[in-house]
Amino acid sequence: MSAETLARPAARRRGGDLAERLGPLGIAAAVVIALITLAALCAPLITSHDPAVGSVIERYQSPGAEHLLGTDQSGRDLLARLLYGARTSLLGAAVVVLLAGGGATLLALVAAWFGRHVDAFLGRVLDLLFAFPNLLLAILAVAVFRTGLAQVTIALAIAYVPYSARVLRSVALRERRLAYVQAAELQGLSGAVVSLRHILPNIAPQILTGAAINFGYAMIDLAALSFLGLGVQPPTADWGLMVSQGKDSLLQGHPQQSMYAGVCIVVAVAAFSVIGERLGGRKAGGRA
Amino acid sequence: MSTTGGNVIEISGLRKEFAVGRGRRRRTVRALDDVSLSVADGSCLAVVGESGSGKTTLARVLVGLERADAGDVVLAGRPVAQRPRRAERRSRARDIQMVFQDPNGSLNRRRTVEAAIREVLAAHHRVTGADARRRVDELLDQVGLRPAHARALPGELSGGQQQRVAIARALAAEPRVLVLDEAVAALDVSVQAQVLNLLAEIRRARRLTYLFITHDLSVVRQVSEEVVVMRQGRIVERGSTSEVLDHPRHPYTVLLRDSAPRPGWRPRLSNGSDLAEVET
Amino acid sequence: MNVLELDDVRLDLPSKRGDRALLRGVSLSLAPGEALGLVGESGSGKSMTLRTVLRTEPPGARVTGRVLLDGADVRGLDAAALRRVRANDVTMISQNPRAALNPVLRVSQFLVEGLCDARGESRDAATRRARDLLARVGIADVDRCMGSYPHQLSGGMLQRVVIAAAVASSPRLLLADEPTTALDVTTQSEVMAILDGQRREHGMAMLFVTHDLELASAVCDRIAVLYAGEIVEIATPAQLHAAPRHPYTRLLLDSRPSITARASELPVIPGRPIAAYEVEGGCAFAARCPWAAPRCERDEPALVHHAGRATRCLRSDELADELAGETPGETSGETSGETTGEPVRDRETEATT
Repeated sequence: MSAETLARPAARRRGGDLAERLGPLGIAAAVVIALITLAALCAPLITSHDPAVGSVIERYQSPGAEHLLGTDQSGRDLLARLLYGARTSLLGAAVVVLLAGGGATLLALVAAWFGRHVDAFLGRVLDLLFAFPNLLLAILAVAVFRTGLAQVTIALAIAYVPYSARVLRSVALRERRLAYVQAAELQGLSGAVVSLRHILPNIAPQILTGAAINFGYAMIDLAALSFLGLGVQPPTADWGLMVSQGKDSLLQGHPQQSMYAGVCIVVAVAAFSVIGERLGGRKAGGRA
Repeated sequence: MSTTGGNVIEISGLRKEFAVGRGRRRRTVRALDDVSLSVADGSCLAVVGESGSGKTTLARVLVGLERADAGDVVLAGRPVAQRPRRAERRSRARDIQMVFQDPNGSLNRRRTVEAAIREVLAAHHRVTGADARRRVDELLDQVGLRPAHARALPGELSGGQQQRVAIARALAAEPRVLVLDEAVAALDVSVQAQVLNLLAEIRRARRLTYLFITHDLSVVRQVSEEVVVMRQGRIVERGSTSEVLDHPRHPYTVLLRDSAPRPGWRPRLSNGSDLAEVET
Repeated sequence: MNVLELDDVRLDLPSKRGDRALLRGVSLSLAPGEALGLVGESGSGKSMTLRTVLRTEPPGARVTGRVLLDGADVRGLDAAALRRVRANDVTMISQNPRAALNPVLRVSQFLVEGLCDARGESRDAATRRARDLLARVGIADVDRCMGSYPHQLSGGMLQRVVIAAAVASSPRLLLADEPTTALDVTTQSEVMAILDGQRREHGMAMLFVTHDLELASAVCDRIAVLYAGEIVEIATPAQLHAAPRHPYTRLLLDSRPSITARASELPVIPGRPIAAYEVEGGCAFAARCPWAAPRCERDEPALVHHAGRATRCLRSDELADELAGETPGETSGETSGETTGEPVRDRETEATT
């Protein structure tokens, strides 16, 4: 008798709803991401080659039984480099998105809860950050500290905060004004409890959407930094680095390395963008 | 209205200003302008007015969601700090609770009915576990819902049911005073009558005091013993409900009464109220 | 010939769980200059009925039946003809006047451009006419209003501007969808007075959608009460108040608290208003009706026309006296315990089972 007494006995929806929101293209994108992640995780099972070690004798080999995608200028197996490169590329972007999303969410909740002066102050700080292009900020960080993946990911994360924070602040502010938040507030619950227990779950969809879109951008930016030689350092495998290292080979008539890595970046970024847009777009047009 | 010991709410000289607009057009609006009133224990005071009258601001100051610029609020014999600490807020919440206008917005759409009520039980009475479960069922029963509704999300309930849940949540704190801010305005006529009856029944059973904010004089007649009429932050008329509605003295009360559609009523142009439009 | 005629209009909206009916066969007619009120609660289909007239129903909706404007079916019009109808013959006033006005245009630009486009008037003539129109809808300071942007005006002023624009082309039919719901009561009274006056002056017919039976009674010649996507009763306001023929109408009249007298307990309609797609055969109101007989849950009543009014109730004739009787709430114990005796509880939950 439970469900019948409800006005709208909507079945509790989770998975089905998500699939519907993503649509066929979105599901395809999710499958692509899952495959890339799986391949990165299972790299040692797929190939026995070490991505960092090669012999000069084997340089520029064509695809064959031993090296499925051939080798690069140092004779390293390209498939192995792509697979292990996925690890650094995905991990780097994931760290950027996690840090940026967490920071942005925190700022948004604080700004929404306190409002007024705090909100205005945080707004100015974000404006200031906005003034610096992402890459410039990351390059600045590298110049001040040291080159390396850790430095550029943190720098990029900081650069990404304002983008997410601006959107999240406005949705958090909207929730803040709703009666259920005020009802919780007048029970004397602390700002942290109300923000985390009530506001956060209700802005979670927007947080996830932003993260999916940012993931793609973060991959591109990290690849660009690696390409410039500021991010991941050789001999570590990384897609961005591979594009960069392949550019000499390109001139010598061996475009494989840059091409493979470039295609991987494009496919992964496109997949994340599609998911982000599907999550976000349908949300805006859909039901409340 | 006398201010004897039998009053559960005593408000005197309340003032509140808001800044509106930006830049050159920035100006202050008096939301509350020297508002004083008292509500006797167990009675229902209706606060009636139109938009911009300050009636909602009054409710929000009273429950502590808004801070007044000046004036005193005495709740159940205790003066209320205008910048309360959290512990004070919490103890105030045990005296006074609020039901909001929008039934849909007053419940967290991602938390079940049970979670919403349990949160209040835990905050004020440290009731948890099986005790809380039982208490939730009791409260739902009091507002005419079934135990099965406890597991529902707000989106699965009708507007009337949502408002019943909001009332149950307010009752969970076992307050002495319930502030109802246009609590039936968003409901369909047939559901509105149900909720009005329910509120009357609860007030009788629990000896509650109501402050009923509304724009609707028919609702005022139905629920309240006393009424104050507010306009642009000021109380323009006060008295017993029947006295004020049957023999209004202030021209604005007369205008309000004559504007309410009822059998035999014709809409008409009143002189002078254009003024109100332009001012606000 | 009637200005407007709806003949068995049905509207289905596709949703995740199959098609959902929003209108289950609405038929009505509107004579020239007549005002008809469409009154109902949420989900009754009152706004949706109005929207079928100008074909502004939600995208994806399937509409069957005929909507005749001056004898011509609007459902079959091509885009150009529909535009002509919208420009000349029918205008609409909605609940939110802010949505009807472009926020970056001054009132003068909005009115004057509308007049120039629709009627090909010169700018000077159009400006003169716009000022005249504003004066007629009771705007005292026409100059200030003409020079204002929408955000500088109150809701009541804006709705007057919208009314001025609506009557500018002297349409034959005015569609008003809760035009005063967002306004304060005192403003509502004035805007309704203006709307009513302008309608009579221009001899327009009006379809007036509202949830407020008393408001509709004050400005309409006839009232159609809707429930769950169909009309349950049509009558004049006087007939409705003196002797409602449908139980729903009766209960709707009773459950609204009165401004003049307090009821010890308000008579209630148990349960909540249901939407058209929730109806499962039989009378749509049967589950909430204190007078429901077993056959009410089985047989679907038809809208029966009789002596200028119409009712959709199987027991309408046998209940006529009872429905026309005293308000049960004011003389307590008059009706059976069905409506007053039992506590409100359980009933809502029961009805939704």
